[in-house]
Amino acid sequence: MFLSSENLTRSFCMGEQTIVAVDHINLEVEAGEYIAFMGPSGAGKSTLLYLLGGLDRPSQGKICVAGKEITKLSERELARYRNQNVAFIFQDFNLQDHLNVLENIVLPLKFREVAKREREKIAMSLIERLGLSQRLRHKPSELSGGERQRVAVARALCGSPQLLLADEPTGNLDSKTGAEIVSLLSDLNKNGITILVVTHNHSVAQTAQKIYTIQDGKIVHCQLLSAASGGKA
Amino acid sequence: MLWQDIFTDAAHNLLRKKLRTFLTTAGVAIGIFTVFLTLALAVGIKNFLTYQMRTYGNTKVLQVHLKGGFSPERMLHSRMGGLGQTPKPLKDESTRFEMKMLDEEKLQQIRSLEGVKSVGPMVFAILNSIRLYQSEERFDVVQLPFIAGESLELVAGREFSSAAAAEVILSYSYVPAFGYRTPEELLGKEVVVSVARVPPAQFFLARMLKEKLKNFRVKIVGFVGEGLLSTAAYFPENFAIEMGRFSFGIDNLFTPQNYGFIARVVVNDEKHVLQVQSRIEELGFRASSVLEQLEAINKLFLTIEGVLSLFGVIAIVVACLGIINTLIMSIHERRREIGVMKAVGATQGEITLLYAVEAATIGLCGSISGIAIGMAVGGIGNVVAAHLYPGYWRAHMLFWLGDFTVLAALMLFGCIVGLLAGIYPARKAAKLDPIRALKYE
Ligand SMILES: Nc1ncnc2c1ncn2[C@@H]1O[C@H](COP(=O)(O)OP(=O)(O)O)[C@@H](O)[C@H]1O
Ligand SMILES: [Mg+2]
Repeated sequence: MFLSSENLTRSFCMGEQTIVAVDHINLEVEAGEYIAFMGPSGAGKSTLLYLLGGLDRPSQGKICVAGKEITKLSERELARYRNQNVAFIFQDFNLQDHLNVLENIVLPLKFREVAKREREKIAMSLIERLGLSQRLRHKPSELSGGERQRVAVARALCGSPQLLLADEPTGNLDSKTGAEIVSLLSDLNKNGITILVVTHNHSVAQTAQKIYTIQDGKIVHCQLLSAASGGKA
Repeated sequence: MLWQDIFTDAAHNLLRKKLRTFLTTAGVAIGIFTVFLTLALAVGIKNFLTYQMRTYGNTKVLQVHLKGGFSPERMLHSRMGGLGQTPKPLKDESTRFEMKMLDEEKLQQIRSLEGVKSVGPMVFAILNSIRLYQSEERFDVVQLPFIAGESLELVAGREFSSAAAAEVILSYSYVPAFGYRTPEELLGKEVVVSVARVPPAQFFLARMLKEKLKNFRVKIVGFVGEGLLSTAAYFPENFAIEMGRFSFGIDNLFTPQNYGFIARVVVNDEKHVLQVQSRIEELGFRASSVLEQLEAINKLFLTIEGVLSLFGVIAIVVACLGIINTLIMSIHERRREIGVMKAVGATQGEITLLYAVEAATIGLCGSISGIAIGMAVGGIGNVVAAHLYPGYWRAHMLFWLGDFTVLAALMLFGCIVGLLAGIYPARKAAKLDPIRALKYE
């Protein structure tokens, strides 16, 4: 088992009331799996993703990733986990506006104490693969939405993570560029990266191997897709 | 994160909002500038006074006189109108100017004290005026004790040829007073020094009543640098004795039978002066020393420096508030950025460090520019002062412009102040919840 959660719960106190965003979720993900999460807005999908990515801590329950119980890690160790094992892709890209494309891409390596020259070397092949060679010195504000998300993907891959967490990666893209990103993701999955993607878009979800439906913080439905199905067609 | 990355990122972040960074840095600069300039002025003036005090008299020398007799301090105090102190009740019956003379027997006690090198009379005379020979224009003058072997800081000419020579060394200020441009032109010229007889001597010693003034003709052999003692004249010791005897109307003055009313005690080592002074006072004399006065000056200036640096401290506190404000603002603006850094693996420590280095950089740049401006202003002040008082009392050193250690310490201080101001905002940034930072913007 590559990733598992047990009674994973995250609640938020908003004054008087408590919102249970993630409610006793038990999840099991094998290495190399590609899973889509769907569900209405406010169901707790993003919260679940952040918990699994070590960006947030659960109120209750535990998470194990690659044999490590990440819910027990110290702040430093958790940061290290985010740096080395996981990568996020967000709906609104979350690029650093003041950095150029190259600097954005190598950001994870900066927190891995890789020297500037070295990290730019590492990034070069990714940049070519994602067709960003002409855009290296551009700022995110000078790029199109599709390009920005490609930069975000490159940044995610730069640290060669085992687990990719994508929160509505096509939400801000038109269908054509969205499809580009989606095929990029399934390519990556074929190369062995485990991917969890949150989406509202059924055709995006179809590229995955499983679709979990989440409602009120609980997994209410699981749909298995045939391995050969979906996105490739 | 590599140190190199921390420094370049901090620098880039500061340069992103140039005006804001500049204004914050300017705040620090003003604070450090204030500290620097007050320090420069206080130390400069203290150095000046110390220097002047040292020219007033040898620091190894104590002036000793008998209690209840003529007291130079008391005379000074009364002439200045009490110098602001509450009148003290008088303990003895003595009249203010009664002369209690010291003799060999009394001085023997002092002579035997440990650390005392020599004890002798304080030779002095009351001078009335000085003028160039064959000139009618008379000038104010004061005779100062000259101690053979303790050389004066001559700016022109030479020392005395012998203890009895009819020679004089004058303060540099007599050069313009006599209408000359360089001291060299006056060397070898003769002056007439008029010695006055003190009133008690005139009064009590009827045989000398007629003679109130006596002229001495002496040759100028040297000049000492200009200072507060601008009307000073130094004479060879034996010559001065002769003048003093006339002044006080006593023929055996300054001999073991009658040392006059002030003795000059020379101490072996400057370090022991205050100790010897208190011993002498235990013996029932009064003693005063330049060193004692220097201590008083130092104490006074410590207070002044303290008060002045309070202003600097206030300015720096304000600058700190500026740094804190700037950082809190920029952290607020960069919430999402910080969230992203955390998402890709920045630790709290790294984010703290990044902001702390930003703050320290502001502190360092601020203090460097503050010091630079301070040195420029102080330097200009010195030039102006030197111009206003040409050649006068080391005016070009009115502002003390520091030495390497002080400047380095001040820079370090600015850096640390920045760092301290940065700690709170930096911790705040580090503790930022990445979810909120990434989601709700
Ligand atoms: N940091 C937070 N503070 C308070 N409430 C939150 C926070 N994050 C999420 N929530 C709440 O938790 C619920 C689930 O949110 P989220 O995981 O973002 O849903 P989804 O991504 O499925 O749309 C929502 O009701 C949301 O308001
Ligand atoms: Mg969401």
